[in-house]
Amino acid sequence: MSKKKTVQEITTLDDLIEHLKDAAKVELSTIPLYLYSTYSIKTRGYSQWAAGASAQRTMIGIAIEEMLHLTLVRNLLIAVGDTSFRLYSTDTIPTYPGKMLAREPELKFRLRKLSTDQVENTFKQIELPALPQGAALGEVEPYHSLGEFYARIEKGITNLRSTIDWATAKDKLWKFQYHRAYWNQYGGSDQPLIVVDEESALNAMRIIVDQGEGAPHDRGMLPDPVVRDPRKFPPEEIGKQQQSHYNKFSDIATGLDGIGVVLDDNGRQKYTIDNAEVIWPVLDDPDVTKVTADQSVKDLMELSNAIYCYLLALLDVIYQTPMEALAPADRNLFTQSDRYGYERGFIAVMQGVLYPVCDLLVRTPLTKGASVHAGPPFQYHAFTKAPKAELAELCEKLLTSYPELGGDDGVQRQISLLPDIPKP
Amino acid sequence: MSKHHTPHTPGPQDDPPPLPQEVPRELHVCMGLNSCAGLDILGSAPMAGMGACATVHHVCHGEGACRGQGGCGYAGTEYEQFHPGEQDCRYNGSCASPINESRVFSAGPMKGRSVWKQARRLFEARMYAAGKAFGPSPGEGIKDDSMPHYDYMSQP
Repeated sequence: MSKKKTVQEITTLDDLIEHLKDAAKVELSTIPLYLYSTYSIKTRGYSQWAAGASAQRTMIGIAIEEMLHLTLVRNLLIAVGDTSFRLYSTDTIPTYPGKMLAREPELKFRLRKLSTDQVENTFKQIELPALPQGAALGEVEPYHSLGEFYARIEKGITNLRSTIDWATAKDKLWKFQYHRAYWNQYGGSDQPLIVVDEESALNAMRIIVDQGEGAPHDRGMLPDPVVRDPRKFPPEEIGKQQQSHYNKFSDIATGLDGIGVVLDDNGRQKYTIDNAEVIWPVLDDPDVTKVTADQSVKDLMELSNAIYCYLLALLDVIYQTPMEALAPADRNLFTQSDRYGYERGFIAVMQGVLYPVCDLLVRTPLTKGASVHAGPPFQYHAFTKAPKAELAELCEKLLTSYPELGGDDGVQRQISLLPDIPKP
Repeated sequence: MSKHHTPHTPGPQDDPPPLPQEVPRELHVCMGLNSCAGLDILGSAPMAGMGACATVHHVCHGEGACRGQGGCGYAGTEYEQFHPGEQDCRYNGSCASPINESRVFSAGPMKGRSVWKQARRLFEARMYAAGKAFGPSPGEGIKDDSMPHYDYMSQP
């Protein structure tokens, strides 16, 4: 029996904020799913003779776009005046196995290696194309697709035109939003928008929907960057298109975006994403409190949890630290900026700390000689001291078992360069 | 066209003067990468490899105006990202210059490793190949909280 219940449209600011907080949780909950499968890919590089794009590059591009969506939602949260939302919180950090928040029918979220099953039955279901526009708008509390959920938010933004204090957003709150330090060579060219009025708010929400599943009329192929107004489409001769996540996952499932090791001169791919030769045998839904593994492996998993949580806590600090307003023509070549340092540190912790530790985990058997490998659990880690100092301590303890974490250009050095943030 | 023109007196309504425009004698993307004495941004490096900072500043992929200007690390193909400060030609490089100290490669054979260290490695190889002496770098990239002018923000 359906659990659907009728609800009102979003008509109060509090309700809009609650919807946006849920949207942020949904976006955050997809990122570990996509990263976990991406980390499980063994192969590096891609044959220039293979058709399609690399599944690994496509997955990375999608994961980064989910980070963009999370950013756009949080920018809007800031713009409408909410300062209470935190990523580093047991209330926000998702657990696996879990389920997609408030989605009907229920969709299970599990951290698993890349496979056709995971792509077809989880990833494509997350990005399921929307119902015809307006079909379910405001009628159901549980939603059937993200497009339906965001349509409700878009309508709420319009409903609250006279309630939202856009003047304050434009005058003061823009400084607290995330705008710089975003690159996605494997995805669309849309960037984190600063939300200061109704138009930028609606544009931000539309980017999320269109990149994810595509608007109902475009069959998952949309202009890049996303524009919905045909008058603003770039001329056809210079315009380019991006595929929706749903279409990209379809290409991975069918093997068009493959592993890239070719069989012959015809470009036929030698392996699929279901072959053990190209995918690490990582365990499903790792849980550092329950896993049976060597102690050093458990410690490495705990380090990955701490890094993930440092990253979320650092984002919270970024959203509490205003950008300096400086004219581009300012004569100083450089200006000291704590906020800028946090942004650079955020990129560095993802690329230079989280990635190498996760990569080491997926290459490591749970116990010596075991056929199943470890993986990053993406769990809440309760900091007992300043987060950077705790990361350094956890890393130091692991150097005997994993000397590659140290050295002149290793994780330990990268941790030493991270910004100090207070214990959350 | 008249040879005479009214002398211009700067007033408060004028735009601020542009950034320093002195043309550097060598283009490189960070500290410790100058190929000869005095070719760094301050013109005071005692020998190769001891310069204080980049002589070129640009924000992103494909924006280098000459060879060797890619900062690398944030975007660019796996192959492009292997060669910070060593791209073959104009518009061929990846990412912002100067290189900040925590920046690591996002793709390619050095994924997760320090961009500045790779730039310095390539620089040292060039110096050895050229038979030139070089000194220690004053650091391993600019501080992360040192914001270049191209990333300054103003009210939208």
